[in-house]
Amino acid sequence: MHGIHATVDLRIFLLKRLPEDESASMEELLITDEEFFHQVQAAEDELIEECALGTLSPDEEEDFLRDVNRRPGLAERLAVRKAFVKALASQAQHPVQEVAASRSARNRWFLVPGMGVAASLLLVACLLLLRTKHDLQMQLAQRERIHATPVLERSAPLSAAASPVVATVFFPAHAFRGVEELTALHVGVAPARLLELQLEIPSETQQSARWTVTVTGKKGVLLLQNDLPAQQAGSVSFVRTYMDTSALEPGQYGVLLSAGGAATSGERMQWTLVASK
Amino acid sequence: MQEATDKRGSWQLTQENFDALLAAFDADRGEAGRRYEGLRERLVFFFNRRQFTLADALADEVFNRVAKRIQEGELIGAVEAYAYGVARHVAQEGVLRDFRDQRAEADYMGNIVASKCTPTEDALLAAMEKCLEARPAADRDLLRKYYAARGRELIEHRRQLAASLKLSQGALRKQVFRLRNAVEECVRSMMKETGD
Repeated sequence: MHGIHATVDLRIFLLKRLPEDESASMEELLITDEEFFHQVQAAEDELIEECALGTLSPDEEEDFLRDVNRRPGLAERLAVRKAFVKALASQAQHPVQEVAASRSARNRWFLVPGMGVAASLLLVACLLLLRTKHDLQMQLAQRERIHATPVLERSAPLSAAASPVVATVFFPAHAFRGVEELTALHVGVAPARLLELQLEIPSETQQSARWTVTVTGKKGVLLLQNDLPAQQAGSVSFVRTYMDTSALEPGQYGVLLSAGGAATSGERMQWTLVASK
Repeated sequence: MQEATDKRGSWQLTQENFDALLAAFDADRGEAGRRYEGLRERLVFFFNRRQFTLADALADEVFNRVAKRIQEGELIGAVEAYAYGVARHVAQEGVLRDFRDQRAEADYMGNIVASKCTPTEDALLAAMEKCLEARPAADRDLLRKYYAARGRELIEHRRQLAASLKLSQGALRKQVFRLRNAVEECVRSMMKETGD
């Protein structure tokens, strides 16, 4: 019975372009015929695929997206497929590590400063480098062995009430080879991996004059910076600090931004710093 | 027979009439269970397609009503066909509009776990890349090649890819479908873990 329906009929059915009576007969088949149901599922998957690839005709896309907007489950499947297609396309164009770099450029986390700011960043990084020269030399050898790529991304919220949603962030540190990339991303990574962290303070978050940044790993607190001032660039507020990532092993690290002078008070947001090979 | 109504007088599915419902599918309990699960999946799809938010609850409502008819002594030949009629009725009932978000009472919806927001594109992309990286290199390579072409070149590209792998186009499509499902499932698990 199901064989009488060609693929094109299924698409028309799924796009809700069939007259009521024909649609009803398709629905009956959908419920009563298992094989037909699988065909419908496959046709729906094709629509998702084509929508993700951008190969639906404008009319089809309009009808499909209208349905997507009213069906959260379908919207989620489409979002996942789009990410799948995008990730593959990125990987086909760039080496894997460069993909993360290109994506991080899109994050609004990082302000886009001029060259002067980039130069200032490098200067600060160099000063810090001099201060910790011995340690960094020791860690340099270790870094060569680890080849870790620090990545900062948002983790699960600490709690629904106290964790506003923030953007995903990546720090593919070793990808920052040139001033141009450094400028675009505004992430200071000196040769010895002094990583500048800029944590944007979401506008809806409780504002504070002073902030604390805590980075923790399995072995405990790696960085604790108190009384950091909120900085302003245009309409964006952010807190800036630096950390030496050369000794990081692959793994997950918590990055906590808390309002006030101490990490235990104020509104809390958390990101996860992931160092991976 | 066990009482099938609750304190408010609403009909409730009991173990006894659930067994009777299963028996209506097939005398073999294993086969009956398979058909029950299959029908439930299709009913959920039916209600989802009609844009009801609580498609699962409505599918269960269909089963409740079918079981009630069986308990009342109605002889049901083909459960699936019967269930379709009930499903249409359930969908048409005005009272079930209350199942839709926009028409539900506030206190009723307050007791329902809010659906998760669609994850951000970047979060999805990050999870996707991790899941792709977790696959063997050969799998990633196949997926990249399969999705390498666009537009008019796509069909010819995939035909050539199948030929180069000494696979039929159908076999290649199935292989990619399986790999893609595994990657997408990995992403969904990851998003659940991170609460996104």
